[in-house]
Amino acid sequence: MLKMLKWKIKMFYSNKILVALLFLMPVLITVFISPSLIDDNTSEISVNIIDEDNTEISRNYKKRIEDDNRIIHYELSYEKGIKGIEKNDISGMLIIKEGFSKKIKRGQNNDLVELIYSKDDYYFKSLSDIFVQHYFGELVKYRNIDYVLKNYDLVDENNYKEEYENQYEKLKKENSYQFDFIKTEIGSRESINIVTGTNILMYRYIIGVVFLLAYILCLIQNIESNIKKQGMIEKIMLSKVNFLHYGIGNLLGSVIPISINLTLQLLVLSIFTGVIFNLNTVLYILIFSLSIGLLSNLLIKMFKKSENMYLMIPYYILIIWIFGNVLFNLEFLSVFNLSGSIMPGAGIKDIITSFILNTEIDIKAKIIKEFVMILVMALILLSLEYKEFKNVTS
Amino acid sequence: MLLVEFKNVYKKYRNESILENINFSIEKGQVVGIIGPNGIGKSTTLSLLTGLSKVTEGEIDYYDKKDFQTKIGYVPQNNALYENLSGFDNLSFYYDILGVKGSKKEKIKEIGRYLDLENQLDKKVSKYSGGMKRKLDIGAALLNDPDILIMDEPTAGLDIVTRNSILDLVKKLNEEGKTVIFTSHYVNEMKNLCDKIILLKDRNIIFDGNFNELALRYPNIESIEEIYLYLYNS
Repeated sequence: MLKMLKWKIKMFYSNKILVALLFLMPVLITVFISPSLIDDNTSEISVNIIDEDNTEISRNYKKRIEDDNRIIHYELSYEKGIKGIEKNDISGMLIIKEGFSKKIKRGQNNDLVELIYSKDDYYFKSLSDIFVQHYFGELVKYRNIDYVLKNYDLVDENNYKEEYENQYEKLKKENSYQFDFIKTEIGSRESINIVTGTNILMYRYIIGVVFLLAYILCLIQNIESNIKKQGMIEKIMLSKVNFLHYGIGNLLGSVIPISINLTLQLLVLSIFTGVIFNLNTVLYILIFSLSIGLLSNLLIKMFKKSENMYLMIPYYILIIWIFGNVLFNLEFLSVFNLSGSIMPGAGIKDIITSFILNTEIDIKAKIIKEFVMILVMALILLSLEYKEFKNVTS
Repeated sequence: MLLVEFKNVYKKYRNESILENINFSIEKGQVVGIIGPNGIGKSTTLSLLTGLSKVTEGEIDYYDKKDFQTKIGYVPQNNALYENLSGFDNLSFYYDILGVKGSKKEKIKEIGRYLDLENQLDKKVSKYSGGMKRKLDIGAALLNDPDILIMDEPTAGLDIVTRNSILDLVKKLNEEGKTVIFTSHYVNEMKNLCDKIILLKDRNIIFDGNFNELALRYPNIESIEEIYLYLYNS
C-alpha cells in the first residue's frame, strides 16, 4: 500500500509545469483579479472626501458616494487624510476639484477629481470604478434635468425613468464622457494587506478560488495517473500487491498531494491576507482533500465508461448533481463560493471560512454531511475498482 | 520438460463462449506463438495461462503451479506505462510492485543495457517511440528475472523495423533459456522464431504444431501466409 501511495504521489508531481501552474494560479488570481470581482454590497473601503468645488452638483456627487454602503467616509483635512493613508487608517482620499460642476455643464471630463491612495493598496486601486459609477449617475441626472427644463412640454412623466436609464447606458458608451481622474499614489510607511477592513467576500472568494483549483488539480492528476489501467491491473494482479492495498494506496495517493498543495496555497495566501491558519484548519483541509480526491476518482471512472451510454446513466446523475448546484447559484461569485450545496467539500470550505472570519456555523451538521458523502463515494469507488479487477479475472 | 498443459478447457464470459475444448501443451524453453485474428480468444488464452482468469470447464495442469506463477514475466497488450514518468521511474515502479530484491539501480541499468535503452531511461515515456515503449514494457516484465515470458501482441501496431527488433529480442531471450509465449496476428513473423504455433479459429484450436508440420499438411499451398489465409477463409 505504501509503495502504491509513494508512486501515486510521484506520478502527481511528475508534471512539474502543471503543478507549478495550479499552485500559482490561485495566488495570481487573488492578487490581480479578485478585488475587481467583489460584489457591490459587501466590500468596504474607508475614504476621506474633500469637496473643493462645493456646488450643488459636487455636493450631490459627494452624497452619492457617502450613501454607498461599500464606503466608510470621513471628512478630514487634506493633511490628516494623507497621514491617515500613510498609517493605513484609511484606504484613500477623494478630492472633488474646483470647477467640477462647471466642467460637467460644459461637457469637459478632465481633472474632475483626484484619487490619492497608498501605492501598495491594490484593492483600493481596483475599486475606483465606484467613483466612476456615481459620477455617471450625477452626470445623467444633470443632463436629464437640463433636458427636462429645455423640453418641458415634450417629456412624458411615465417614460422619465426609462429615459434616465437609457441615457445612463448611452453615456457609458460615449468616449467624450470617459471619466478622467487624477490618481496619486503615495508610499505607505507600514505594510498593508490587500484586504482592508472586514471583507468577508474577499476571504470567501480566495478560499473559493483555491478550492475550485483543487478540484481541477485533482481531476487532472487522476486523468494523468489512471491511463491505460487494464494492463496496469493485470500486472498488479500478477505482482505482490493485493486489491485492498492497491485500492487504498491509489486513493490516498490522490488525496495526499492535494492536501499538501491546498495547505501550501492557503499558507501562501495567508501572507497576502494576514490570516493565520490554525491546526484545525489543516485538519479540515485534509477532510476536504479526501472528499474531492474521491469525487475526482469517481469522475475519472465516468470518463472511462464513456463508450457505453448505458453505463453512463449513474454518472449523468452525478453530473446533474454537481453542475445543478452551480447552475442554481447563477451569480458568478457563488460559483466560486460553492456554498449552500451538497457538493463534496463545500461544507468544509464553509467551515474553514467561518474559522477565518469568526462567524457562527453549524460545524457538526456540515461534518456529518461531509462524512456521509465521503463514505458513499468511497464505497462506490471501491466497488467500481473491485469490479474492474473482477473484469480482468472473469 | 512439460511446463503446462491445457486439457479440454472451456471459457465463457457472461454466458458467451470464448474458448471451446482447448488442448495444447508447452514445454520448457520453447517459443510458442498463439495466432489468430483480433477477438478470437488469444488474450483470453494468455489470461488463463497466467492464472489471471479461471477456466469455466476443463483444467490446466502446471508442472508446478506456484513455481510457474512466480516465474512469469507478463507484457500486457496495452502499454502499462506512466507517460509522465521517465523510463527509469517506470521500471522503478514495477521493481517495487514486483518486490524484486537487490540493488534497484543496478538492476534497472542492466535491463536498460539489455534492451538498448540505457541512454533513454532518463527521458519521459511520453517522448518514447512506440517501439521504445514496447521494449520498456518488456523490460518491466524482465525485472524479476522470469523463466517464462508471456507477451500479449508485443508487435501490434509497430512498424516492420521495430517489429523485427522486438522479435530479435524474443529470440535472444529464448536463447538465454527463457520460455516465451506470445500472441500475434502476423503469421510471417512467427515463422523463423516459434518452435510451436497454435492457430485459433471460431473458439477452437485449428492447428497445434510447428511450421514444418503446417507446411506438410498443406503441400499444395506455397507460403505460410497463404496457408493462414486459406485456413481463416475456409
